[in-house]
Amino acid sequence: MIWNKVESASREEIEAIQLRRLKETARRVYAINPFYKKKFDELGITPEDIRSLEDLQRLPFTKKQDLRDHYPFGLFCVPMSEVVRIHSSSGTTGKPTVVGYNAHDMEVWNEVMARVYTMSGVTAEDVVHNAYGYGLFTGGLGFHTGAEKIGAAVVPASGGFTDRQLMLMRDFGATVLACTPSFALHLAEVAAKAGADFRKDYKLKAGIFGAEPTSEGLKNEVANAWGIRYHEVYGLSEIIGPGVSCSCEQCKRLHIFEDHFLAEIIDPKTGEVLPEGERGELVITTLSKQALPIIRYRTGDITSLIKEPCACGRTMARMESIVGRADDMLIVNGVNVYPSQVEHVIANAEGVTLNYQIIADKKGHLDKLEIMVEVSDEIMVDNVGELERIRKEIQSSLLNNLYINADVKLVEPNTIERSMGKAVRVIDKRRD
Amino acid sequence: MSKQIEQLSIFLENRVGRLGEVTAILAKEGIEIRSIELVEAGDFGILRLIVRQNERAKELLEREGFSVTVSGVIAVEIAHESGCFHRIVSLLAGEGINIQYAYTCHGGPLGVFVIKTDAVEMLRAVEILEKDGVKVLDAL
Repeated sequence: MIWNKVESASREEIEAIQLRRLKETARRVYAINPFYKKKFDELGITPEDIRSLEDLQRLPFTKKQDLRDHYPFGLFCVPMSEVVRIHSSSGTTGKPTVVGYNAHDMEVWNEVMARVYTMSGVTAEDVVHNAYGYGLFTGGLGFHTGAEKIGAAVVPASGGFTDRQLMLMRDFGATVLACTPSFALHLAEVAAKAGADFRKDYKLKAGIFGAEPTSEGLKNEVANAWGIRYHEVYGLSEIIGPGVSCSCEQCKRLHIFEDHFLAEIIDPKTGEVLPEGERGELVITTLSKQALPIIRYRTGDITSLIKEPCACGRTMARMESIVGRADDMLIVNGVNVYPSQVEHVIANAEGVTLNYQIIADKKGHLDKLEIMVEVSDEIMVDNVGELERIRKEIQSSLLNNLYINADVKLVEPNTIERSMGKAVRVIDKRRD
Repeated sequence: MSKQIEQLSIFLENRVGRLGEVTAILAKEGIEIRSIELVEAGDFGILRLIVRQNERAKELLEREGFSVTVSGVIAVEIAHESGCFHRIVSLLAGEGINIQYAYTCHGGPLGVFVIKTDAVEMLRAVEILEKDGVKVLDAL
């Protein structure tokens, strides 16, 4: 089922919409916002110079620092009387990034979330258990109003209180779960420990997961633990919140809602736009937002794009599930390593859990990598040879698949710091 | 399960204080350890325990986050005389049964020799030993 027929429009129609809206957005920011006017002027370019989508490459980039530098409302393009919602990111370093929406933007957000739900097979008949955090974080409220838009019954559970959440999921007969993949796994673990019969006690059929980079292995664990269809959603508050793209029932890649978000892939070092299919940093330009339009926002997320139509009937470009953050990437003795790739190897290994930590350090002139992994409850502890074999297999898998020489260390359960949000997976001691 | 004794195997990091955590838990609950064997393999080790209240001990340790496996072992009574180990060992070797590991503990006036063979061989090992007049214990 497709929410909006524009999702299967021809490439020509999509590009025509994009060009029209790009020109409008450029005109808006140039006329209203001094920050953007200055950036355009510095490059000697005006909105009138945009005649084709290729001209997008001539426009300046926007970075997270620009939002911080103009904290809180410096990049808004509407008066405060028009702003109806303000959200901000968690901001672990320095000031949080603040975003704003007017009534029109809220409609856009609801529209894209309606598409997210519909492509995940959700209808007005469903009960959505929303365990994304409510509050300043865009996840909770984004999923909430999106569910209301399609008429589904939404349970605003937010985060925490695992046992209570499980009770509500059972008693309310939730059919859809919306939360981070790690929380989904945590819920499954707690339910399993309490002796749940997942097929009988729960009525879940699908889940829409996102807000953290996740390996294929982890996604399979979540899908298998709950016995549901796994849909992945992507978004970031600077662009709109959740709802920039989502995976359909036919494919693992995520359809970007290109009539609202114009995507490019660039080389993070040179800024050069890369051809279709190549991996690089995702750059997004908002096409319909009015309160906080953004030109060529550098997301820092690494992915690739393809434009072929999908088996589901949608023609909107599809991005790969985020491979990693441009700044999460580790270079170990000349080899590029993303934590998500290490996670994938660990997910496919037996006897260990997905609680791991990567420690990069120096040994003389060379880089050395140590990876600690917690053993699972199911591991057969009685055989030293067996435990050694498991450890060695992870090591050789890392070498053969990722070309990295790492020292794998098996550790006891619950030894590695676990957080419900985004876990600290990498400790790089080389920076000192 | 006839004459097999349940042994708990606990995964431990080879670090100061880890063993103490386990013994503290058992001492606090008044669980008596009948035999203990600690094997090390680089960064980690395996603690093999035979205790009186097996189910309870396993539950307690798992609740505290330890990874515990239960295996079956054979315990035979032996006199404090030379040649006693050899008799047991050669009986099993003569029938092609491999001893994976073994350790001893004191059961009273006599000693106890704890043996682990492959799981499929356990029943046959007990038969062979008993047929030769060896006393196989059903509890420690």
